[in-house]
Amino acid sequence: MSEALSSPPLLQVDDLIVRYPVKKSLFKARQHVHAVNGVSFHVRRGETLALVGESGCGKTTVGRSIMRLVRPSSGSIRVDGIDIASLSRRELKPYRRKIQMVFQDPYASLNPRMTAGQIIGEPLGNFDIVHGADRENRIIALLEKVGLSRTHLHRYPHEFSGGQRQRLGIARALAVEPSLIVGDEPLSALDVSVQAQIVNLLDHLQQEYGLSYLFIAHDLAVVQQISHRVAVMYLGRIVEIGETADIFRSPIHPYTQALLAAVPLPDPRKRRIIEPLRGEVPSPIAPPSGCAFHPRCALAEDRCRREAPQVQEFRSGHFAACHVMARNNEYAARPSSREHGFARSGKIANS
Amino acid sequence: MSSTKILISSDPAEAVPSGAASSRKRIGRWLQRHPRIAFGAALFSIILVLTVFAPVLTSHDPLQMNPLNRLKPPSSEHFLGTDALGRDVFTRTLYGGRASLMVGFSVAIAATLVGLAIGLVSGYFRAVDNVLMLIMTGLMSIPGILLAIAMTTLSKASLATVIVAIVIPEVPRTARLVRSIVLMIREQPYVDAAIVTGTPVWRILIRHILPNTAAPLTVQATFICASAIIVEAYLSFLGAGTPPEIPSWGNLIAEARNYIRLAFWILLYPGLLLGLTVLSVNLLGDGLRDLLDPRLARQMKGRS
Repeated sequence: MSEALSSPPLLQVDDLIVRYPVKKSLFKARQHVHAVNGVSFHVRRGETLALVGESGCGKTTVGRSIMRLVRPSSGSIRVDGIDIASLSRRELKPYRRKIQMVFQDPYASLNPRMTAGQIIGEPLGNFDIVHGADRENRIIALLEKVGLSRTHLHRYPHEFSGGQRQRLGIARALAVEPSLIVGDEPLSALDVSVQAQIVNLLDHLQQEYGLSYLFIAHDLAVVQQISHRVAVMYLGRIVEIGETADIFRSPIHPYTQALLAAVPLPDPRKRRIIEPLRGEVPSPIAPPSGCAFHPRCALAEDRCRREAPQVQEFRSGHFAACHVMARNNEYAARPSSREHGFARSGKIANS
Repeated sequence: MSSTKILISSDPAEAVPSGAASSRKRIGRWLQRHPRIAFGAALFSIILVLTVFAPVLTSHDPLQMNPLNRLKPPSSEHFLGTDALGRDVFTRTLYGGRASLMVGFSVAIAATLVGLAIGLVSGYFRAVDNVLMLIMTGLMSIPGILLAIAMTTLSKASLATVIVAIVIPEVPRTARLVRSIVLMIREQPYVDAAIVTGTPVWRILIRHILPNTAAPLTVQATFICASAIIVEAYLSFLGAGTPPEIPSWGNLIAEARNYIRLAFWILLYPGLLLGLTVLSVNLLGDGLRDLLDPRLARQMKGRS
């Protein structure tokens, strides 16, 4: 733990903002969707951070910004200490070897006109990694690494099952030997039994290569199993971030509590203590004032409507943004350190 | 979309001969299932053979005048009769097809290639899209005939001028078609994956996007070809097209118009061949459209 703290995190995202202009109109003031509204977090080497939240909360946009498929409006995305948020396409290329992505839809993320070999070979060619006969051997090695075989080399995506296709997508990401893989709901399109296989594969790869994962998901059962830490997003902001065990055992933010309460319980005799969420996610074009969650929050009070809560440390390494919970917590009463969610846990634990 | 892929991918397999007899049977069965393609292709092949092998099929010179044999009805010497200057109508009709088909093919190829290039750039690069599409819209607003007349008046009348004059109004349509496909495909996760794995833009365009335009463009090219043949004919008929010394179907019909009461055959045969050619190309295009692009077929049906 202390070793990881001394070196800078592999990925450090600070105050990331992504705005999209909503329809341009000649006579109306330009409106923006604040898809991501000031998100900060970090991912350490060999760590899995899960980013969870309802659909539309901006978690996918965060992932796409890190891949620079979306240009951030402001904020920084530092990979090994270097900010890639505003690099040009050409300057960005070396960083593409460090971060790769596995996509949600294993059908649409593979070009139907390319064979498995061509799909995995493309990144190898782009970065001039191996040549000639070695190249084919490397592709076969990658196929075998993800549980496919050389017989699949010349097959087209439609000849594979969903799980095999996702393995192919993972092999493509592994081809450039990245340090971080962003998984944009890589399991949600798969059958439950296949999900377990892919989880095992990802876990195995992490142990073998020391990979880090930023795992974007909404399935909390899977998240609990695979991630070291969890960040909960609501309407473009992180409302809570902490160790997986802490989040699941004692969630702080009312939204996290509601999310966890919505997970189906396998035991029919257990009763829900917390009311499930009511209402819809508000429009990100005109987010609610103050705390974005206040219209749906059972604990909301006046201050929540006026003032957006800052992220504060509630327990060692466990941060959340909530006025009401902060008032009831003497640990959080102290003003929060410069950055939320990283590098503080060890120090505070010592103090 | 998925059904298209299956069809396309199964085609080569169908064409692979396991034996000469069985492959012929298989092709026969395939053509039976696609009567429009079969009929269109057959008709078009016949016309193509007739025009390409014109020098073999007739011993007359298309420009050889014979004032003594003016406006003669069909005979054993002149298979389809002679025109007002005693030239052989059969010969001239076949040779006329060469000019018309030449225009049709050239326009189809040129308009497709130029439109493809503009459409790819316009669809992929947001920055130039507005400007390019504005130019395309501007081009679309120019009446094709006026442009052709202006061009033949300003420059020397030649086949090349006619081809350029017909290509210009066709380019925007192709460019828009390609652009719409590019806009759709660039949102596909596999294009994102290509970007993320460091694929250069040109390779994304050629490897990931271009192949998706092949089927609709093939279909579009057949329609452009048919329409170019007609446009050439009416431009020539108006005297704004192919120079009169080159026999083209349009020129033949224009000349024959004055003698329609005396010798209808001068007009009938070029006209008939023109009609049959356009019919065959359109049938082929319709058939290909249904085969290659069911989605486009639905759109087109909804529009017309």
